[in-house]
Amino acid sequence: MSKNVRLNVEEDLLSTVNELFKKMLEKDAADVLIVPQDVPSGACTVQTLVRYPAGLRALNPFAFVLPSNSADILVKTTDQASQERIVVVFRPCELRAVFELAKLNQINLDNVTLISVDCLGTLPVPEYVELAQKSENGLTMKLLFDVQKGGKESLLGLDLRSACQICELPVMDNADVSICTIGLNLQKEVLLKANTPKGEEFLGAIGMELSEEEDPESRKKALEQLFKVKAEAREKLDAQVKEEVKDIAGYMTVLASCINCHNCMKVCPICYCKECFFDSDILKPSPKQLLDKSEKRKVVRMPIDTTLYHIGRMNHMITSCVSCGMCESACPSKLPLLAIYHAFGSDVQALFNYVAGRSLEEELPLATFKEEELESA
Amino acid sequence: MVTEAQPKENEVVSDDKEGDFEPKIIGFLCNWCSYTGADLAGVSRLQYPPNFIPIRVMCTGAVDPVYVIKALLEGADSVLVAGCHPGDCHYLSGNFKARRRIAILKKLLENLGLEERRIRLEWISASEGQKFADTVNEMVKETKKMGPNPIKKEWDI
Repeated sequence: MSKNVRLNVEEDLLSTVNELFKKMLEKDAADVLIVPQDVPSGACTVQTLVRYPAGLRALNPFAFVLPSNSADILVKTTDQASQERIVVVFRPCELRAVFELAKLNQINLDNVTLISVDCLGTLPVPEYVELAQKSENGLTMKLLFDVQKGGKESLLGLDLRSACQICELPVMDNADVSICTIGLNLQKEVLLKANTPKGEEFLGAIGMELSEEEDPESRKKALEQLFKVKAEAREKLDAQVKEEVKDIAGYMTVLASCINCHNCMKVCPICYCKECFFDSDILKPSPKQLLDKSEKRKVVRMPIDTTLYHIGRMNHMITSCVSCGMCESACPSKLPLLAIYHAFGSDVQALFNYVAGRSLEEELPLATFKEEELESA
Repeated sequence: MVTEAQPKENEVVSDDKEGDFEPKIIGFLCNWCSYTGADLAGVSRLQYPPNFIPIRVMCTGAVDPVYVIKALLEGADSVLVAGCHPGDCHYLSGNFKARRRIAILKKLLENLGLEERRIRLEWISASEGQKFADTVNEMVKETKKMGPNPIKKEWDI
């Protein structure tokens, strides 16, 4: 069982958590923090690198917005020679991507302490920005309380991103430390959990006294309800998308408005290749070769290889897809990419009894094999 | 490239004629086993239909599924990937890895409504000329039964 400690909320939740992270730097438990903070205008919340306590201006790990999957920041800030102790605060979908990238040897987790936050979902970025600019301070807390209470108007009538609506793991119990908010009275307290020895040591270093307390009943209940709602939404979306693309003609209807910008690849945390196969010269015909394509086919869709890109990219990354939905959020044509990746991805991952990002120990399906398997293939 | 007859009105790719559909089958054959097996079929004068277009690769593990998809999108009716028997891979485990990749590809294409039988993974050793000829015969027969690749009807791929 994980060890935990209740953190009393002094003034309000955000400033309490802000102080907690200041303590990490002051007590020299970390060299650099990678934490989400509100920008001064309050219009959005972005990840920041912070080395000194003074850099913690407006920590906000609970904001209802996720402009990009932060896993990529650890790809850029760690390598085999990394020495500095980094503490990150990521959402569960970001941490799942971190696990996948660590297994793909793109992140060195040796000196990194992973802190997860319970995630109640995020709004599409443009809608959030509009809302944030209209609202007074305290938008995050208002949304947080409203959502916990439930009800139709809980997000001021807005819908979460579809990835968040169907989220499989809104809480993460294998990060080093988790900051738990769901099912707790946030005016009074939050729960800090240490899930690994590294996490226990870390919380010890900032002076926390851990005990082995069960989750409060209210939390268990709230989580159960949350999982139920998400599972229902998931089932519905999977069935809907599978019906939509049940044949090639259906898939072509979905891809009809794709402009082949490759944004979905650029924002995908799993697509770490320095140069994407689909941007490489292999798929760039000479002018003559391109014109010649119209000889064999009466008509050639431009730009070429749109479908090849989509099915091909799916083949390359689907075993590690963590369903963060960045692809769908970044798509200028609003293609239902998350829905497709989730429905197809869970089928593929089930072939190998694998869930992307579930743990650091499970081996990547494409990096291993069993001698006896897949006989029907 | 342009020597073929004018394509029919509703077909994007020209080589299917009503009634006597001759499938086009692309095969990725591993250098060490299956390509040599195909060679043996040739020198042994074993008969198999001319619908099969072989591509020699160094290992089935080196076949990125993207190339299989490309073949299907460009009008192949079936694709064969053939390599050494499990345990016999020249590079030790390439064929095991290929098996996983092809399984993923099949699952994805199955979700898109494409018959998984259009992709076939076979283990054919260098001494199995007969198995190679049989495999091609079977594939041609089965592909004829399935009919042309439905992707060919979609011009906007």
